[in-house]
Amino acid sequence: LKILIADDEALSRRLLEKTLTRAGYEVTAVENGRLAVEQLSRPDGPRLALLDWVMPELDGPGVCREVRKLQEKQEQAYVFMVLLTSKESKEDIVAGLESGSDDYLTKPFNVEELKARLRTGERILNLEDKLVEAREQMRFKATHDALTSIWNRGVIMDLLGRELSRSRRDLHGGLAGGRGSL
Amino acid sequence: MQQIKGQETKGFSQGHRVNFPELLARVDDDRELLRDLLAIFKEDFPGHLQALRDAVAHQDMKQAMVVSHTLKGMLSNLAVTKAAASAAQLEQLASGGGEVPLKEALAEFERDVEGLLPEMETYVAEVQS
Repeated sequence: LKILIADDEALSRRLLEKTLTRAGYEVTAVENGRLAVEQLSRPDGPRLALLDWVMPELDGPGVCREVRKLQEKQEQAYVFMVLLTSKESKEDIVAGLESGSDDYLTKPFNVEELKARLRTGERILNLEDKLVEAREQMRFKATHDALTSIWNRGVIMDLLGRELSRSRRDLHGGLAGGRGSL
Repeated sequence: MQQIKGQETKGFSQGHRVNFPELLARVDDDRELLRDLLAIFKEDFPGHLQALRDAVAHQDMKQAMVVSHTLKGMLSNLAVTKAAASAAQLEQLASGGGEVPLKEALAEFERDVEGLLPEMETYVAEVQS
């Protein structure tokens, strides 16, 4: 599974990169929030992300907000984002989660805790995938004939109705245009 | 990957600043990774320390806050517990904007990291051997 690490501090980035590679992830590491958004908004980009809170260009919560906005607009697959922070106050944690992150982890992290939280993320992503697949199956069943797998009556009537409306608009538009040129 | 699992930590230098058993646990006893981290530390730490000194001298509280945050993260990853706590205090003071206590906290931080680089050099040498 692909995972993104965004941390401006080289030592922390290297530690995370090695730990996660050893755990079997395909790691991409970037050093600021802007590059993180770029990676996460790619169609084949990572769906798991570990984001440092304090980063240049764009901080961790800023990355979460941008990624969630892009997801709403483009209907991209869900990205599970974990904020890495040394901020421990309740207000900070609430602000982090409100920004759209799914979880947070305090620095310095414990390796086993990190892996466990990422496994939670993987479970959620798997559930999301199953949900999307089920929705697509239901959409297909609602629009296709069960026996022949071609469009059902409801869809064909709907399409015909729309085509008729479009043709009427074209016809009226053409007549109006024709009168204007006379 | 070279592993040092099972190796007695008493074989390494027992410094007062680095909690070496904790550091080994953090890297999962990976000698190669430890060497990488110490190399990054040796390269980056002097620059960050100088940036902190400059920020405090110029009363640039925002910069002092950012640099002490970076140092805190770096030192806690390397299990340099006391100096990481001093960096955390510096970060907190810088966010509050008090100049005099910030200078005192910087002096304390410098005391905590004094001799840290030679100690790290010793670890690097022992890890490489």
